[in-house]
This record gives sequence, C-alpha cells and structure tokens, in this order.
Amino acid sequence: MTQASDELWPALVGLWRDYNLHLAHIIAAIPDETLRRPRAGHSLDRIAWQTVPADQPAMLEYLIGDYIGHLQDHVRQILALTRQAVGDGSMNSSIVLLGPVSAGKSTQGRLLSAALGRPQVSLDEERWRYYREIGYDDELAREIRQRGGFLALVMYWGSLIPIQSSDCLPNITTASSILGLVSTRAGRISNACGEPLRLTPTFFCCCHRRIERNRSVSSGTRSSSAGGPELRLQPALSTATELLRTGAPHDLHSRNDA
Amino acid sequence: MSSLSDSLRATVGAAAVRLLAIPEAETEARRDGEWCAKEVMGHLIDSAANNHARFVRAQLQDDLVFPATTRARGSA
Repeated sequence: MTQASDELWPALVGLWRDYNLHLAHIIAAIPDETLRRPRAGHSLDRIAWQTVPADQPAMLEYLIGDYIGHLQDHVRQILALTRQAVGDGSMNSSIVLLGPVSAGKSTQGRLLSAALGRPQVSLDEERWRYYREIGYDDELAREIRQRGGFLALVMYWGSLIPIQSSDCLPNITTASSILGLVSTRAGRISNACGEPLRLTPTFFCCCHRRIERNRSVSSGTRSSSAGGPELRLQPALSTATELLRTGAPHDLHSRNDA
Repeated sequence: MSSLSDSLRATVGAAAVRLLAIPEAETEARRDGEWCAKEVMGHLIDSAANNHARFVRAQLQDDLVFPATTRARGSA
C-alpha cells in the first residue's frame, strides 16, 4: 500500500485527479475494435473489481468500466467516512451567502450545494416564518408598500429585526435581515441544515452585484435563474471551498461586481 | 471510446471538488481498523498506475492477462 499519511491531502487528491484526467486521454484514443475485441485469455477472474469468470471472454472496455466503477466506489467510501466525522461534531462548515436581492445567492448556493454535496437552505423561507412569529402583518405590509413603495416595505422588514450590525455590509436591505436571522435564529437554521451551527467557523460570502444591471438585463426577473454567464461558481466561492478544507474560522467577503 | 473517457473525466472532476473540501485532520481519522481517507486515496493512486499499465499493454497484446497487484482487498 502507498504510505500516504505523510503526504498532504490536497496533493494526493490533485495527483489522483490529474492522473485520471491523463488516463481519460489515453482511453479516448483507444480504437473501438481494440476496446470490444473479445479476449479469450485474461486474468479478470483475479484482478478485476467485479470479476469475469476465467472461462468467459473479456473485453478491454469491460476492464476500463470496471476500473471506473471501482474508483467511484472508493470515492463514495471516502465521502461516507468523512461525513461520519462531520456528524461527530468535530467540524462545522456551514456557508452563509449574504447579499442583496438578485446578487446570485441562490444560484451560487445551488452550485455550491452540488459541488460539496451539502444541503442548501433558503433563509428567505425561514425569514417569513420568523417574521410571522414576531408579529409581521401581511395587511399592514401591503398598505405600506402601496403608500411608500418597496423601500418603505424594506424599512418595515428591517424594523422587525432586532440585530442591527449591518455597518460592515454593503446593502442593509437583504443583508440586515439575513444577518438578523443568522444571529437570532441560529438554532432553527441549524435544524434545517441538520448540523450544529456555530457562528465562528461559518463563512460569510457577500455576493453583491449592481442590482440595476441585473434589472436592466432581465426586466425585473431574476437573471440568475435564466442561465447565462453567472451560472458558474464565483472564484471567491472556489476559494471558500478551499478554505473549508482547512477548517479554520474565516470571514470571507467577496465582491461580485462583474 | 469517448463515453468511458467522459465518464472518468466527469467523475474525477466532480469528486475532486468534494474531496478537496475535506479538512486534513478528517482524512487521517481511522475507525475500527478501517482505512482512513488518505489510505483509500493512496490505494486509488496505486490503482490508477496499475490500470494505466494495463490499458496501454492491452493495446499491444492479444490477451488481458496482467500480473496481480499485492492489494489485500479492493483490487482493480
């Protein structure tokens, strides 16, 4: 067995990934005839992951598929092993995306969720439950909006949030309400995430983009759901993924003004 | 054949992102005599090297007879 424990995990994973990308090139160049020619003589009854009886012919195509299956099985094993460790509470790594309306929080969250295999929780859903709990009045909100417009409504929302440490945030609107939720509803959010939420090791990623630009592009609809260039993990979130690995507490503020 | 190649490329690309998110300490945690994550990854790198040789040799020889590696389990 490779004595791997002296080597750093990212180096091992990087080597493994790059080696397999090289193998993918090699595999792509193999002619179909070579892949699918039945071979009477083989040792896949001994060396394969899912073996082939010695008295049955085998193909190279099968051997390659078997290699990939074996690889996927061990990746699942590693993810299961380490999820177990996370479940022990030894590590908390929730990511909180902060930002104004239309910044792309949900889109980035979805990509991040897929990339990391972690559940995505929308605080907006929590927000409305919480507002109602503390006396939010739908009728009053409608009236305020009619009289004073969206900004007045935002102020009404803001007045419901007891925590106001929004001076570090680029936009008080959504950011303050979400920050309030993080601070005051940590228990509920943590339930929704299925893991304990401690604020210290949590990432705060502020994705903020000019709302006007989004609006002009999409005529009031959310451009993030319409596809297009922003359907990529922002570089800062790739960085967040990397920082997560170290397990150290971070506040990560990123700009997404592009 | 491109589908196998694409499958491998997609698998390692997606897996690497998730694997890199695992903190170093967790990759060394061992339970009940099982392999830790680093040992599994070491095995996967061995497996890549072994199969690299097999995929190349399979194009030069008629049979698919290859020397067994010394893995106690999880061969391939």
